[in-house]
Amino acid sequence: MSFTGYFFNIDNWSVPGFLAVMVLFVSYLIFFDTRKLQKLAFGLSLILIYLALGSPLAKLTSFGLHSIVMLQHIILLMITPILLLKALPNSLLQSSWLVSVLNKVKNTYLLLWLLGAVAMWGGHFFSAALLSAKTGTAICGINATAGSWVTAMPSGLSFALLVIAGLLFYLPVFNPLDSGRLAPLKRVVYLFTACVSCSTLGLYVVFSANSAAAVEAIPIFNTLRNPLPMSLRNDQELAGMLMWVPGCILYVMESVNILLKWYDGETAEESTVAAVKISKD
Amino acid sequence: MSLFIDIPEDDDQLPALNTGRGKLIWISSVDHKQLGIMYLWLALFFFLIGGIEAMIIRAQLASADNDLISPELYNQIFTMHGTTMIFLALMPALIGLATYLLPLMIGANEMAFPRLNAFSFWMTCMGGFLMYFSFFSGGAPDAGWFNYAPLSENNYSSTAGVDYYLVGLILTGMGSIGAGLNFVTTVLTLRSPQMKLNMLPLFAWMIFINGFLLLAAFPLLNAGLFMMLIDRQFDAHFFIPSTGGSAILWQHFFWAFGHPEVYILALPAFGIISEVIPVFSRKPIFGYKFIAASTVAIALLAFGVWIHHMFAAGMSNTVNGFFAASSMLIGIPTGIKVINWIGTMYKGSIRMTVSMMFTMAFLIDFTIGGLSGASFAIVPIDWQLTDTYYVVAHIHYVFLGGTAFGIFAGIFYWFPKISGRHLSEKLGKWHLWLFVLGFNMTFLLQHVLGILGMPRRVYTYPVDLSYWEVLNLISSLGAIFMFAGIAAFLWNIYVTLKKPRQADDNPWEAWTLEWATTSPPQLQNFTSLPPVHSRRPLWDLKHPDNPDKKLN
Ligand SMILES: [Cu+2]
Repeated sequence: MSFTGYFFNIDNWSVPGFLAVMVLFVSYLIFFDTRKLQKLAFGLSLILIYLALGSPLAKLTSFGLHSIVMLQHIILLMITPILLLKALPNSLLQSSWLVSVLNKVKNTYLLLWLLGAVAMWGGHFFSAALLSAKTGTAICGINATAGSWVTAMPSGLSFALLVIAGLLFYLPVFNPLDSGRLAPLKRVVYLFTACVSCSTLGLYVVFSANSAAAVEAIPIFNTLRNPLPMSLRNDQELAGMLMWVPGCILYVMESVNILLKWYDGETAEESTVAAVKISKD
Repeated sequence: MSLFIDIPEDDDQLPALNTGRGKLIWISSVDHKQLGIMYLWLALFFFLIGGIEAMIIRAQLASADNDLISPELYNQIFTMHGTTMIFLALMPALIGLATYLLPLMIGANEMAFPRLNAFSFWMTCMGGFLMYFSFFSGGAPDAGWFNYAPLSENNYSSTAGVDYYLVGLILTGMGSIGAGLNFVTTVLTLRSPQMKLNMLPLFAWMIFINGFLLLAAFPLLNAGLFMMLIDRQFDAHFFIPSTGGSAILWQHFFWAFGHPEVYILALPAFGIISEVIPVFSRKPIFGYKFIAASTVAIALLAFGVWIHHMFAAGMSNTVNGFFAASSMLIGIPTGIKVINWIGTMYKGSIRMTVSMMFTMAFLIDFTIGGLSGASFAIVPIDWQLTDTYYVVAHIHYVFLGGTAFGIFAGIFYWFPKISGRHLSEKLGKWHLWLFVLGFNMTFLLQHVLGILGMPRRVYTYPVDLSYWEVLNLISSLGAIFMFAGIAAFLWNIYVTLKKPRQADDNPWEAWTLEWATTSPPQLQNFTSLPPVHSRRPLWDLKHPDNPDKKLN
């Protein structure tokens, strides 16, 4: 099976998934009054989720491709939550309960940061185990048997958890309410430390790929990798690199974006702090 | 003086040259200005030593089949040249300028940790001299400035040279970490109360970011150095493959430090350029926020590209491919800076001082270095050109055509502030033209030599390789021009320092706070500060009818 043949095979595109995406998007348009950019963000997030879960790309995981799992994680945990937060309709922000929650959430930023890190690392090792149970191959140094407890977890649930963790993680940075965000430089530090965490994970995955090299000697594991004929080692390196380099660049771009606004002196809150300081002296 | 805000000053006077007596005060002083000047003298001293080593290298390579010095000595000389120039000349020069200027630019009277500041200087100083003692104890380090294992391990380098390299760099590394901590803390805690972080002068902002880079990068180097020291002294096996270690691991340690180090040496120079260009173009800096934000981007990305130094070490194509991409990406923020600098000069009324001319030389030569660097990001080109003179040309365009030109620009710009005297513009122009022409003569052709296949660090070459001898000869002649340029610089410093102090407080009509005090500043930098409401407080003071946009 060639890659193009596989990619253009209609059986590999999930029809119910496509319908669900369409229904969601149309109802978003009908029920919420939003700005153009918000519509774009929501549409983009749906496309990304569909690519991650319903497209031939997603189905590659059944060939035991670890890098594809990593790609799913990056999309669900690191990219779509930002888009979803941007797309959150203003009308939902009228509810005073939600507003008070969103306003308070930044006080627990350490916890939320930790949650993001746990989702990233935990999600990674969990899905590596799941993949290993499915394919019988050691993935990223993890060996799980077909009957392992990890298989008991419905895959939809784990994906949903990733998106939720991503939303919570990003709240102190991309909170739809300005007042609910951390101060700009704190946001940069928040993202940068997350970048260190994801780089460390990526680095670990890449450099532990040597352990996969031994398995490579057994040809059958390479045939699993149809229609993307990648060796286990390449696959694992690709997985780690995806997390390491594009993952980190994503955070860097977000940080630069925050800084560019901050230099213009947009926050009123900061200048009052400075004024207080002066009057004290 | 209701216009000014008083600055609180410590009741206890810290030790300093002006207040203490006796020669020992040179050692016990913690005044940031004096330490800054001492850093600069140290840098100049080692710059001369490293320069003499460079002259020896060029003399050896000037003709084919030359045996002016022995191959063993040649290895020691090029190793010490690289190590000296990077760790003992460029680093102290930049840290020295920062130590002198950072408190002045943010309206502070001292660094946050004055004693740590002195500790940093003396660590750097002692590390440097210790390294040079190796010449008297059986031979200097000779495994190249990046000291690759297993060549640097006992079985291949049995003299004490490498041990001196390790201990010397551990000491200077500690000094650099202390300096980084001091910069970050000073900016965070001692700014004029009105100066918000987004109002820092660009030089101060770059030093602030550089502080984080120093704090993150040097521990990596020091960890590696300690591990190798343990290997050599206590027979451990961290980097010895034959007994279970990993030689590649040394490369990871070294380059995970080494690439950020490139930016540690580049960012302060960028900062100098960003101060000099607007002052001598009579315009505010164009795109402050892009220059500042791209600095942060560079600092963050700097730790994610080091594998491009190891493309030839046998990493897989997957790994190489991603690092090729990230290495090309990191060129973008630097390109943004260059565009903004040119944008600042555009339609400005440019004053062609020596400082400004060095800045322009920087823009041209650093850009060449950046472009040759980007060519290395393409893995097959790297495989072809790695360990050739193309790399030598590249590193010199970045560090000499970039960092060193920036330092010269900064020295000519701030000399009146630091010493109260103007360096001679006439001698300065001799210095500039001799040095810049000589520099390009020496290193531009080395790109060609590299493409022809001349390996870096090679002791000599046979006579029958076409063009090698003539290109090497031109290269060596260029070195003589550079040497003459530096002689003009030394003479300039000498005659200037003999003149009386008569520089104005603000001779260039610059708008940042260091020009609000006397030249040179008193022990206590400021007794009072002008109000700070924008990035150019002195402009606002002079033009109350046309102030900059208020930022606080
Ligand atoms: Cu590099």
